[in-house]
Amino acid sequence: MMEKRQHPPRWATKLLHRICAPHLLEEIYGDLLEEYTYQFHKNGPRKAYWDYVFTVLGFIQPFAVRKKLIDRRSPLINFTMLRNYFITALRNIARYKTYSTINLAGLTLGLACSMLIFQYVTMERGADQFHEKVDQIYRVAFKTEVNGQTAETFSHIFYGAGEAFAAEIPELENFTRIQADFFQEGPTVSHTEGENKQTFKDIRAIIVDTTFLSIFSFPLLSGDPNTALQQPQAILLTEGIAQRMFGPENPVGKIVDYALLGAPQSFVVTGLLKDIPQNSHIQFDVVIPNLNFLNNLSEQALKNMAWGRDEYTTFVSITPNSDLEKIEKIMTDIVDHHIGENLRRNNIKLSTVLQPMKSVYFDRETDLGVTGFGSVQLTTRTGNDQIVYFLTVIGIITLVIAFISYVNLSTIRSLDRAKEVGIRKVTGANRSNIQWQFFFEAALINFTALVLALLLLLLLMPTINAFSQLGFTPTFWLSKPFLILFGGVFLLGVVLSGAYPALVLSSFRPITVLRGNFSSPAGRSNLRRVLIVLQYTPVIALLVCTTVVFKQLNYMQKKDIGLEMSELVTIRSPRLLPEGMNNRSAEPALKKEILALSSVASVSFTGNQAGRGLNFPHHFEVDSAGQTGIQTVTGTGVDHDFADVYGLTIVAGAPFTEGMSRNTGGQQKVNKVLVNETAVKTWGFKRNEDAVGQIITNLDGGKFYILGVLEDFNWSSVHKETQPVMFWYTPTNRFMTIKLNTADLNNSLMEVKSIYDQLFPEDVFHYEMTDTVFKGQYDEDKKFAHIFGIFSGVSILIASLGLFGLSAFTTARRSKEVGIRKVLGASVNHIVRLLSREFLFLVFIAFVLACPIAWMVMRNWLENFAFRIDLTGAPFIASGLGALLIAIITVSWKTFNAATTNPVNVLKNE
Amino acid sequence: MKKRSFLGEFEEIVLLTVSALGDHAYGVSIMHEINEQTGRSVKLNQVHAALHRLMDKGMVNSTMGAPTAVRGGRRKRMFTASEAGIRILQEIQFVRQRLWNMTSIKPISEI
Repeated sequence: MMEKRQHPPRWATKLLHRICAPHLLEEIYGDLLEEYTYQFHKNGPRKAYWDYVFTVLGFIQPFAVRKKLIDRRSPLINFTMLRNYFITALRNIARYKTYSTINLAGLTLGLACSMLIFQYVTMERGADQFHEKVDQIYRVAFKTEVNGQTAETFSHIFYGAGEAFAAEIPELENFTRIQADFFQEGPTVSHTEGENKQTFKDIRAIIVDTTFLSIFSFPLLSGDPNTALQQPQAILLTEGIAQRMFGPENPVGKIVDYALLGAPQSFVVTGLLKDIPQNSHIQFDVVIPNLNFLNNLSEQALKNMAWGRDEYTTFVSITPNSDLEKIEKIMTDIVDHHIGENLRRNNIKLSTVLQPMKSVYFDRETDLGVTGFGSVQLTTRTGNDQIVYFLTVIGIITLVIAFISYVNLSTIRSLDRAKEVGIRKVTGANRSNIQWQFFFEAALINFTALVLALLLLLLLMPTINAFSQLGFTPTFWLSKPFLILFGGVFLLGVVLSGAYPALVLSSFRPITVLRGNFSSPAGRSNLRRVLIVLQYTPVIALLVCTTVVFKQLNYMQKKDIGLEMSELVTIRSPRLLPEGMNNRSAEPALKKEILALSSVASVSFTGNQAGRGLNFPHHFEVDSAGQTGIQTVTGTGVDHDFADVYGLTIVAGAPFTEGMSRNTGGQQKVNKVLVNETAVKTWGFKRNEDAVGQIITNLDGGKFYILGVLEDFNWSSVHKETQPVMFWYTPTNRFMTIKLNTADLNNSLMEVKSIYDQLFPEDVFHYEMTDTVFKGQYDEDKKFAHIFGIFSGVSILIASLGLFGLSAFTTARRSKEVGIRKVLGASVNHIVRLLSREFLFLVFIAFVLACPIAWMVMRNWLENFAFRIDLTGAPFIASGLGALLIAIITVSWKTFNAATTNPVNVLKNE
Repeated sequence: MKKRSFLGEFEEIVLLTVSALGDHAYGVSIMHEINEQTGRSVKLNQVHAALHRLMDKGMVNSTMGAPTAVRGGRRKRMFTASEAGIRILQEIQFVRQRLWNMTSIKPISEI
């Protein structure tokens, strides 16, 4: 009983001490004790016990729990302490300038990179999402299987398919067909009722169903979306092209002459579209409703076209939650109903696939078709999810490397800071004060880095936009995902970079630290080693990848593909001709005049440009070495100078000759063709000579007489294997390729232009360098390589900054040791090696770890290319040596300094 | 009209008790006095809460007293009614008195 009197229930007392604000504890606990004693004597221990317990529980209420402002255990709302943290942090930053600069620079670069990458990735991932109905829109594609073997998916489908589907499938709300204009080479003339005529030859036009604007959400700045496409002579312009045609004034009501289906017609502008966003996979300058040519076609012609022409990309909008598989099956049946007989005859199995609009942008498998003289490629933008994926990884890597640098430098500085912590504790700071101080410092550095990163991006944005053509804007920084992510990154950064010093340094006991012989525990330098390896592994892997990517790019660009294009210029044949002239007379006249120039070696007419595909696919049933099935050989018409201009030699048979007849004559009318060696192999001929003089028949019954065989060449990029191609004879065509024999390119171009302008004053001269067009196919790879290069450069910079900081601090720490060693006779060389050895060893370990990672990633990447470099050891060794060299320079900067210092300077003040 | 604080019924009782106890008003004594005078069973935490509110409203002043053995050497917080506190008690009383005068109810002592 006596004990009970002395001690009211301990747990309740403990609870009280826990909950009660310290400044109230004395009076409350005192009152409680007094009352306990009083009750104990008056009503006995039981009553006293329960009274005590209930009263303690009763104190769980705000007034008793809430702490007073001056309570030093609540520093967050203690402004005096906050100010103190701020001042201390600033002092620390100012005092260790090298350290702070390294930290800030590293974090700023890391943040800026990851921000940019995040913005890019968001833009790419958000491609086509601006369409309100994006979840309902599907692209209809046909998947073919020939003899149950080769599978191909293509999105250019029959004209009649959309209508047939809509008639039988109730879930199909709407459909629209898009056709990149076949006669896209223009010219297009803009004018205001005959005044202020301007001619253009680079207009990307699409011809669409009137439903186009109700399926897609391309916003109209001017004009009525419901009626804009309802008249046959309507044309919609995008802002950019309207600006070029009519200047700043509203173009609605103005007139654009456009050569649709060959014959120039006048169109009235009915709407102005906002510029098409970069992340739209449908790209165009003008839109023309297909009413225009539908009205001009006879019923029979329409019928023939419905299941005969297959150059229409068809989009459908489908009621949400429909059974897509069922719809696909019905579609397949409909197609079968119309062309099934034909397909079966050729052993082709065709099924319909609905491709969600969301997936279309990143779809690189589906064949878009080459119709429209390359215009499908010009009006379609396809994303590369591989780049997006690689970039995401790189973004994370740069950020992590920057944070690792910070943590690493914090650990090495722990000795300097330990004394400070000791003094602070002696003068009354408790552990949480110290922790808050370190977190505050981390927050300050991280915040400054964040601001600097944004400023840096703002400063670089024009350059980045000019380089990437992506239209980055700072407004993205206000978007929710960005704020959430980088708010999160900031907090994570503060926690990660503040945690080590806050948790470890704050635990130092003042007596140990201040006694003088304190050294930080050995385990910590192991952490440091692990972090350095962790940092350098991705950096070296990135370096290897960059080297490989550039090597491959270089290989592709330099690869001899069989065409000689360095001195070639391609111009478009004139279409706006003077009175009394037609194409047939104009084109030869132009060729004759140009050939007369001394700077021109030869001139050839072709139907397509190298690097932009070939327009006419012909399907052949082949039965060659182990390969049976349908093979496609594409082709176009060229004149007799073709081989000469492109530097191709005839390896068998005869070339085209001027004025020759297109076909073999007689009853059969068999087209004479020149083919490449791959085509010869495709058709199963053993030798080139065997093919010459043979007649081959395509699936539609068309016949071709092989006149000659051209040495093998690639008409398109080396991403793909060399394709079989064939060319038939046309004396003139829509593209004219000129081979110059002069180094003075500009001057000879001017000469050609003046001839053109003289002959065709109404037309506009439009030229492209042939190899620029061809190399344009590698633009994306080039961008990929540059992105890789830039970011691996930045990441090695960040890592080097960290390493520099580390070596600077360790060297400074060992300055006395170095002094003694020198006194005892060590050479500069020896000391530099001593101080650098460890870092270089770590970089080497990182290299060993990085190699297999880079090898796997790059082996995977190289599979995108039919023609690719071998993955040899060279790029690995080069990158490893490069990284090591950079590390050596970084480290020896300080170590060399230390080694050459006069030992007296470091040893005199002991 | 100048801004003034209102007192809850319990706060009024606590404030009255504080002034009634003169120099001896602290948590336990206030509680005992209230329990004795009103016959209620009030707990320390309630008294402390009310005192806290009165302090916030400026109705009471407080000082720390001397340590006592029964409290394990802890000091008690001694309360006195502040001028504002006294004033508000007077006002309450005045209003009540006027209302009483208007009624025909007789006070208990006169029955």
